Amino acid sequence: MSNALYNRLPVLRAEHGVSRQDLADAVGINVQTVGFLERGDYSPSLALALDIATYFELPVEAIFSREPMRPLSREVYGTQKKAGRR
Amino acid sequence: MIQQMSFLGIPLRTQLQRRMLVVGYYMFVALFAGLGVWRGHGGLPGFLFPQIIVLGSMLGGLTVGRPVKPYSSGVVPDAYDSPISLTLSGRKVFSPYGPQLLDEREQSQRDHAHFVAYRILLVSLVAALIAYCSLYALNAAWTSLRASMLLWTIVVYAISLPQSVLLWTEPPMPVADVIPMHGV
Repeated sequence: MSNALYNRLPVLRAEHGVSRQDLADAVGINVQTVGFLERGDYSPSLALALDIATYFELPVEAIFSREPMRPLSREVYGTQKKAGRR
Repeated sequence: MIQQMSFLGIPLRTQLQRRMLVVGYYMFVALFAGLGVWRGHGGLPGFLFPQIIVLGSMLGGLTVGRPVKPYSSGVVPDAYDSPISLTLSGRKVFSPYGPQLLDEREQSQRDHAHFVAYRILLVSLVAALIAYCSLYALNAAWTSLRASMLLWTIVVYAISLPQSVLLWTEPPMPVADVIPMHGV
């Protein structure tokens, strides 16, 4: 099993209008670390992942995943479409 | 861990530039040591001690205003819970630039760099000992006179090694924050 950890941080930041610096200040890390997290060069500790999840008010698995993540729009609208067909 | 994007006019934005700085630094140290050996220092003169401090801490780690962030000097009193964490945790560091935090990534990088540096140092010490013993067997008088320079070089090398490992291994910096901020 690969050690890769995928995340949706860039999308969530854009959606919330939050800069890297804002996120870094909110969770108590350095701005460079946010960049490394987004690029997948660093895997956060459980505590940091939970802090980020709390900040975005989302479950941690909505932000981080061991599998490559589908685009958020497809997650939301893809599900709705399937539900509508039923 | 890299807090400056340039040092002595040398840009440090890319990994290659940081590695060039490390290579340049050790070339300078080797030149300095070589000069000392050539001149044949008999003892360890007083001026060599400030040189050890200045040269050893040139890349940072121990002082502020250098490429590598300080590791642990000056922990905020309420941030530690034991004398060991006072010197090792490095959570909050005071500097003229304000309190500096080593976050979890930086702490893990710092610890890894010291681990790697220790292993490199161990091999280097064995190599230096073998070299010294070989030279001593060839010419005891000449080698004894230059033992202090060998010691000087080892101390500077030992002090600077973790910072060099950090500069060498730090991945390329993330690109600037380019995502347009619309807000919701």
